[in-house]
Amino acid sequence: KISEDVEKLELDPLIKHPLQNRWCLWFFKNDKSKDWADNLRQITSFDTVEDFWAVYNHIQSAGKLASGCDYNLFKDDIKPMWEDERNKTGGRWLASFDKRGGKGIDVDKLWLETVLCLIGEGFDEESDVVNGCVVNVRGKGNKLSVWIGDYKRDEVVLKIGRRFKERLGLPPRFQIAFEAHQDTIVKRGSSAKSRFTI
Amino acid sequence: DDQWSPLNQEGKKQYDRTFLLQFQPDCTSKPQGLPDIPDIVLEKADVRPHL
Repeated sequence: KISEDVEKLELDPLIKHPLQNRWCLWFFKNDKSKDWADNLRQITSFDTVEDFWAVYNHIQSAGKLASGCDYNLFKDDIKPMWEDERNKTGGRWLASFDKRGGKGIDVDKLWLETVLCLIGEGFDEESDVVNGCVVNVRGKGNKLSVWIGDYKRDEVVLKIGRRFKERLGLPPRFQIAFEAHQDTIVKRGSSAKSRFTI
Repeated sequence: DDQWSPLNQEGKKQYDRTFLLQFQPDCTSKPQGLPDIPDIVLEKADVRPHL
């Protein structure tokens, strides 16, 4: 009899696999006629593996988004903007795929790998410092980033960067850069001074 | 390992990509309450194969 219960429990589709965190998916569409914050829309939030896939399977793939659109996936209580309390003192690891370097890069695959890493707590003990991830779809080159809540903790930042790069499967010579959000406000030219590149 | 499962509900909610990917094909019922954003919200599930 025991094995029957075990069998039933294992296969019971109603028992969903809980995620460590509840995550919220946001969509940003660049509409110059509207205020920036109004262009940012919350799609939904989820906290189980099955609910994540139900959402993912029902939204357009990143690669098909119009240039100027973003997907943001953040922990449920964190807004996808550096002004948010938990982003203010943070930064982001940024992978930029410009036209040359971006050839042959499958933005859908890399975005999904990044998302699976976050929702699956793929950063191990560092996972609690990871706030979210963003894919910016841009004609001049797509960008993927992982947002961290505290830019000052060097080893934690570097460990997260290495794991992010490893999960993306990027060749060693492809560099990703870490920028503190506050540095990106005081921009010289188009790019902020990055604190690390690996 | 000590991963969460229906039989080990105290286990760690940490899942690697291979484990997560196996659930993708079965989750095809549309979630409730998705906003009306025609650009991105699909009516029917589009289970894109992922290598």
